Amino acid sequence: MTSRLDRYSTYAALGLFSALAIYPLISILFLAFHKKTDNVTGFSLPTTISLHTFTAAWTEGGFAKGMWGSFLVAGSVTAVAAALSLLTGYALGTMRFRGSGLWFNLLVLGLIFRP
Amino acid sequence: MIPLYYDFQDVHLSGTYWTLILPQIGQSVSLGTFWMRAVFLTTPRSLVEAARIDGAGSLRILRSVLFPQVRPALLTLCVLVFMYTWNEFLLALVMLQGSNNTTAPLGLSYFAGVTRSGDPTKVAAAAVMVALPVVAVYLVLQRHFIRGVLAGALKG
Repeated sequence: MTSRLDRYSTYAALGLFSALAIYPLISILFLAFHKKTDNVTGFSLPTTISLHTFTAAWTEGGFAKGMWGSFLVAGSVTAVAAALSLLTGYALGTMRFRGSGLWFNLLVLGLIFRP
Repeated sequence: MIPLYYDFQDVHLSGTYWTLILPQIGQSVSLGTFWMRAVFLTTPRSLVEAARIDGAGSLRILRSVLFPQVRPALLTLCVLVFMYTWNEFLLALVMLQGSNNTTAPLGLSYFAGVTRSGDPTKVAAAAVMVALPVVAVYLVLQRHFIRGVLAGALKG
């Protein structure tokens, strides 16, 4: 059994590091809930609870089209790549055939040379 | 990346989403093959042999015997590939320049250029919106993700 001190110090360390990881994300999220005139520097709690900045950013950045494009690209790449990887992994992982080592190395070359 | 751009120009595909989809499929299959081969190597060989003796063909073995075992790892791969593809910025910036097509991270670059001294709150809102789908996909597949990452950590 671990002692109580052990457990508390573990929680303290985990809490500290998760706070370090989450802090910048939260500060960006809170920044989105401010008015332009607030002149925010760093972390500050939300002043306006409205989605105005989000809708404005959505139209200005052209996100309707951008999101659709990203979903199209990411979705099709994920589906096709997963299906192909399942088959290549199956062949190279469970079967022995001539040139399997060569095929594997050729495919893994793609990890080294990025386009 | 520059030769790739001219290659796509040669086959009259420049500016379309194909210029993003095709190279990234190639890239992801490299990672995926490496990943799935390692997973399939951990599946017990005797299982395959037993199925073969029972008269199952290669595809039947994959579908009925091995697929249930590698499913967590495959879903983990899906999350990773989706994340990498969603966050791809440079390729999209080069390939889609001067076209009507765009991606979400490219929408972010609009705020970096035109309104740099503008409104930081809008930039923050845009960043949150672009990050949201990846977070959503991660949350949905989180259980599998952790299970997949741990798979093969111990040999039983």
